Amino acid sequence: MWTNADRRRFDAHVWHEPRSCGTKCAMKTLIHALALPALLLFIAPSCFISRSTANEPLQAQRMNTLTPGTSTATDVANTLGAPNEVVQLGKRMAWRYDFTNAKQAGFSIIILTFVNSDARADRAWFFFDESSVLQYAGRTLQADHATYAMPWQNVHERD
Amino acid sequence: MRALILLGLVLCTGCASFTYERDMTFEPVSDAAVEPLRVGESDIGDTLRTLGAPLYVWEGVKDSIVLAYGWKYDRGWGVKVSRAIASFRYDDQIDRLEGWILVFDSDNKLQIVRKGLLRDLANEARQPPAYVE
Repeated sequence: MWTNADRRRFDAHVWHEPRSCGTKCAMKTLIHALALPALLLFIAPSCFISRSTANEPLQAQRMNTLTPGTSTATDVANTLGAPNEVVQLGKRMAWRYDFTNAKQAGFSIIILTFVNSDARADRAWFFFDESSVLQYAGRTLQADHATYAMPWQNVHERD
Repeated sequence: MRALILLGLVLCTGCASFTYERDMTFEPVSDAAVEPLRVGESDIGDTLRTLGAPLYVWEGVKDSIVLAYGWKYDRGWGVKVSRAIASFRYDDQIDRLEGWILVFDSDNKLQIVRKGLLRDLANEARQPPAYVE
């Protein structure tokens, strides 16, 4: 039989303070137990990096074989494959090839996030005349310049 | 109280956060790089040699050709809600890029050089799309 004396002995053994303080004491104990994990959660930052690319990197050596005035649209297609974009310019046309390299880095502390995004690209344009002969070719190869960095780090000239 | 709990849940699950972000997209083309190009003298070939490949090429009015060079450099604080990472499309970029527009006539000679927001410059320089019947 569970007597009042037994209950008092039990309470004195289990609880730091007499059970008479009730729910308030239970909450206090719970808060004490969760304080450390909560503090760790608040101060533990999480870092991340990610990289995304679009299309295949452009190859300068292959593009060097194409000569304005002699190469045709067929030569360009055979050498570089299908373009990413074709622009009609009246009776003329221009083809674009591109490769984009985007890098993101950052870290979060609960609801505060620092992010740096850096996207660079390789691009090549080929302009053809009315007879589909290559007239002009231009390229920019900068995809390798994309970097992982924090938002306050100086990584390019403009910073 | 419920609203507070909901806000706490949204913040703690990463759906929303206060963000300091720097966004660099493509390399800028400086004024000095464009300076050697001469209106009425330089052609598309000179421009490609001097500035490299443009970001966009459009058909302009009266058989003209428009080359656009663009880039973006933003930094600042903001509130992000469920951000999508690693999505990149060329066509999505133009609204946010600043840069140069160079317009060439039908003989491929440089006629106009402008600097500003590409979205605004493009509206002026591009040929409206033709109707397809």
